[in-house]
Amino acid sequence: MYIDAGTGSMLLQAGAAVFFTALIFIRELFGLFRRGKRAEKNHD
Amino acid sequence: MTETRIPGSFRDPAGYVFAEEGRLFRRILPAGREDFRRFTESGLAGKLIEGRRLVPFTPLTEEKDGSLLLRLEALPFISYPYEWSFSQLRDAGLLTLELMREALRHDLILKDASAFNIAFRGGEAVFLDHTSFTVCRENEPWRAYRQFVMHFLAPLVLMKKVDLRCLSLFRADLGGIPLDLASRLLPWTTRFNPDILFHIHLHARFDRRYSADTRERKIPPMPKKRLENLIRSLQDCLGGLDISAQNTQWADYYEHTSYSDASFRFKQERAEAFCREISPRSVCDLGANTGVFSEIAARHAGEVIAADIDPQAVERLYALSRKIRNLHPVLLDLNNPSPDLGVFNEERRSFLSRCRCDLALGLALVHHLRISGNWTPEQIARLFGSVAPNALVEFVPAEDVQVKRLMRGREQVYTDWTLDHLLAAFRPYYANYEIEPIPDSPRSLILLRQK
Repeated sequence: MYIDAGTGSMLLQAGAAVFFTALIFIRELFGLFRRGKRAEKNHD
Repeated sequence: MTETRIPGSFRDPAGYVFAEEGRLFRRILPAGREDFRRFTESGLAGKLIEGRRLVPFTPLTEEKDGSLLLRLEALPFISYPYEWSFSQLRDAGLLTLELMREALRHDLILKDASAFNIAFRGGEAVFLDHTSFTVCRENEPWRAYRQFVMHFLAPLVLMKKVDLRCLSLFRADLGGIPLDLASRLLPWTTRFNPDILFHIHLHARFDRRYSADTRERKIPPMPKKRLENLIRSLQDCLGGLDISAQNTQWADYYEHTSYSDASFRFKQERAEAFCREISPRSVCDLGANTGVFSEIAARHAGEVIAADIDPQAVERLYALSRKIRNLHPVLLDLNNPSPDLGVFNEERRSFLSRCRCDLALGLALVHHLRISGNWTPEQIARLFGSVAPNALVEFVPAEDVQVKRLMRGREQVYTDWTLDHLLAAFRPYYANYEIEPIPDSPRSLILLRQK
C-alpha cells in the first residue's frame, strides 16, 4: 500500500542520503588506507 | 467461495487476505496485478521464498476482471510488534532493509515498511505482504522511509537509550512511534550520534517544519546508488543496536529461586509426563520466564506459545526459538494483555483470542496474579479455562517464603489463598484434577483435565 511519505521526510531523506554516501565513501577510503598500511607492514 | 477479508487487511488497494475453512488466501486485485507480475517475473519472489524470507504462495485462479487468487501458507501463530523482544523487532527491521536492497537489485522497491508485514516462523522473521513490491522509478526517493523509522528505528533506539518498556508506545499508536515524540524522549546526547541525529531528530524537525506547508516543493532526485547507501546506513545503525547490558527483574529468576534441585527436577519430570499424556497440538506457557518448561512442552506439542512479562526473558525465549522452532515467544503482561486494536477494534486481535491451546502451563505464576495483581481465584481459573481445556498449575501457599515476602503487611487480605479455594474456582472449567506435592517444598502441582 502506498503511504503518505511527507514532504519534510522526503527532503530530509535526500539530505541524509548525501551525508551517508559521503560517510560510507570516507569509511571505505579509510579502510583501504588501513589495509594498505597493514599490507605494507606485512611486506616489511 | 465467500471472501471475508481478514479485518487487518483493508488498506491496500492492490489486494487483501481472507480465510476460508481454515485455509488462507490472498486476492490480488487489478490495481496490484502489474506490480505482482513484475515481482514474480523478475525472479525476486522465488528468490525470497527459497531463502525463507517470504511466506510461500501458490497461484490458483485468474478471474475475468484480472484479479488473481493465491493460496498462502498459514503460520501457526501471529504475534504483533508490541509483543516482540528487542531482537525480534531489530531482526524484523533488518529483514525489511534486506528485502529493500534485494528489491532494488531487481528494479523494484518496497512501497511500505510496516512492522505488521513481518511475522516469525521457526525463530526467523518472514515477510507476509506479497503486494508490497512495486516498480522503482528512476531518481524517486523511498516513500516508506518515514514509516520505517517510526516502526523500527524509533522504538529500538528508545528501548536502547531510554527504557525497554518504551515498546509499549507502539501499542498506543499502531502507525509507529511519532518522530517528534521519539526525538523529545531521547537523551540530548543522542544528537552526537549521526544516525540518530539524521534519522530521528532532524527527521522530526523537517516533518514539523513542512507539515503545514502548502507550497509545491521540488524533491531532490535520489539516484539508486544514493538510496542504497541510505539503506546501508540504516542497516549499520540497526545492526549495531543491542541491549545485552540492560538488567530486568525476571531474566535471571531461575538463578535465585527457592527450589532445591530435587523439587525443580520433580517439576520438570511431572511437566514432561503431563505433556506426554495430553499430547497437545498447542501449549501456552504463561509466565514462561526463560523457557525451561516451554522447552519441555515443545518436545511433545505441535506449537508452544511462551509468554512472559519481562523483556529480557522474552529475549532469551527468542534465542531459544531459533533452536526450538515450534516455540513462539510473546512479551505479555497478563494484568493488561494485548487487546483488540485498530479500526473498529478489529485490525489486531487480542492476545487471548489468538491463544486457544490444548494445554496451559502456569508454573510459579498464579500467586503473583493473586498477590501482586490482586486477582481473585475465580479470575485465575477463568484465565486458564479460557485458554485451554487442560492445565498444569503450580500452587504456592501462604507459608512459602516467596509468598510471605509478597504478602508482607497485607496477610489479612489474602485469607482466601488456599488450595481448596483455588480448586473450587477451577471446578467450572475442568472435570477432574490431581494434586502432586512438590518434594522439599510447601508447593504443589495441580493437574487439571478437560470435561
